Amino acid sequence: MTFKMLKAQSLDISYDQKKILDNFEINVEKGEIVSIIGPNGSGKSTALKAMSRLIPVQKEKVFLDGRDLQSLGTKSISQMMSVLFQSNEPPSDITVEELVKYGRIPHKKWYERTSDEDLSIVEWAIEKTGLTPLKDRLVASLSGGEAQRAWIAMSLAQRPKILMLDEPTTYLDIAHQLQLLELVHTVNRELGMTVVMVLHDLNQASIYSDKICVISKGIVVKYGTPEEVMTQEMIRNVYGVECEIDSHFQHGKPRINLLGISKVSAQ
Amino acid sequence: MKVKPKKKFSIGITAVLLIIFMILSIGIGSVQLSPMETIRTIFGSGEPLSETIVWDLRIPRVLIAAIVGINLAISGALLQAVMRNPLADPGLTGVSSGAAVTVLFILLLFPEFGKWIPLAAVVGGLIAVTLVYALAWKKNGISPVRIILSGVAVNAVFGGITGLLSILYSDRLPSALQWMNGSLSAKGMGDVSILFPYSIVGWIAVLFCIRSANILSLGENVAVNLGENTNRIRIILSLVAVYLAAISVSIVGLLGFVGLIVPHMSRLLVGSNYRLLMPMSMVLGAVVLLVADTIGRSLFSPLDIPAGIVMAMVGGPYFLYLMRAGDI
Repeated sequence: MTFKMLKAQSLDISYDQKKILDNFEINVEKGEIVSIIGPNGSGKSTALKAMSRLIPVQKEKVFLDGRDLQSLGTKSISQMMSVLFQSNEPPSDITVEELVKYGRIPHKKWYERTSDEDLSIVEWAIEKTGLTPLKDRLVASLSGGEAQRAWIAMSLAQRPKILMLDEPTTYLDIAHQLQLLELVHTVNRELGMTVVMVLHDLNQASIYSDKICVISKGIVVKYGTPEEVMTQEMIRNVYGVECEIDSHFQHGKPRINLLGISKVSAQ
Repeated sequence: MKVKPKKKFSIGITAVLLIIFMILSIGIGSVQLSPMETIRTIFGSGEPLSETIVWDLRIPRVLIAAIVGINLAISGALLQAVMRNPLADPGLTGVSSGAAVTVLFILLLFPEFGKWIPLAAVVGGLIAVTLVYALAWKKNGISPVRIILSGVAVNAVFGGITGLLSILYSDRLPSALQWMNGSLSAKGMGDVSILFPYSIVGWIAVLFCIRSANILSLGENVAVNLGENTNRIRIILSLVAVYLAAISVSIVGLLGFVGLIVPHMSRLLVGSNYRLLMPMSMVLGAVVLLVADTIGRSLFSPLDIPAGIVMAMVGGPYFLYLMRAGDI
């Protein structure tokens, strides 16, 4: 029997009696890229945090490769899943290579030293992210896009089955945004690494995702392929924005052209 | 991780400096000994009078300064890792004053339980650090500013209790007065034989903290992602930090700023990787406190200025310098 790579069911998260996630459900198949989109405060980052044990969840709510997240130790989870948040603050004097080496920690006992195998994985991760010429530079001295790639390299060195990214393109200019999403796409297609990410840009979500999950006020509004999800009606209801949708001339994915704020306010 | 040889070298140089300062410090005092005389005396071929002075007065004092310097520096470095805050040190976070209250309590009220003083100090330190954490805790974790503010509050309360105890039991106070000021005077080999074994236990524990301290420095989310149980790590590191600071307080009293200044200076010299930062902080901590104590007892000789007062007068301005340099 094959399990879903990641599954959440009837997941509720509340802060101060305010429901952030209400009966959240998602099924992520192995090898998919799934984007979670939604307006500010819709609960998308909370969903990502809950599914990656950064927020505690109850039993039988989240399953990673068929196993209950609650019953897995944090170390076992780190061998299967890597989660990366925006705006990390590394120590000011850490180099790219040193940072990427930390990605091997989940696979080591506390007394074990870095092995040749670790080093070759680290080198591979650095090369994959195009950072070989920068490997001895300080992470703090890199541009936003380069630094974000360094963190992704650390996640790759972790050799996870699933990569969770929280708004990986925030703070990057458009060239670096696309570069990063291309990198995520390559990693997914070449290594079969499942990817779940929170994105803001609807067109980027449409182009780079196999499935899209739309959240509004903590509730999953729609879940499916970009073609199924991206409709004028959904965007009007969820964001309160009018748009036109056509097909991209190259790859046929839905292309969203924003027109303006809806006269009728969002639900 | 590749360790740059230059950085390792600077730890070696500081260690050599420490030995030189120890020999010089043993020679300084009302009876002056040249470094050669000092070495001869230590190895048993000096004059009988200088031998007594060296072994009964100077060597215990120098050893206590070195050990306490090491302990406080480690304690500061660990608390800084746990709280991700360059200001965290056993003095500012209230650990030292918490330890001081329980020590004073025993000194003044139950002097017959003197041998339990180190343990009492650890208990006091733990109460203080728990209070600081509880007060600094907010929904989304511990903020650096709240740590300092809670530290101020906890320090004030424990300072108040210390004051109250000293007034209520003023008749018994003279015996405790030197201790309260962070003085290393009148220490003998007996004190060394208490402090040293306790400290060794802490130093061994530190070996197991280095990796965790490094992982915590990457930030909470990253540490969790790498499979670390961050709450457990924080508690363990805090325990070691409180333990080392408290046993030091139990012997020498309140000695501020070592845990703040030394890790910061060490960071400038060897960087923030705890595999180098910890050994550097240890040797530098010993050097700094040894120099402070030697200055204190020789500058206005025959007056003996407690090392705690010297540290406060140097540490306060250094603290301001840190603020101006934007490191805080």
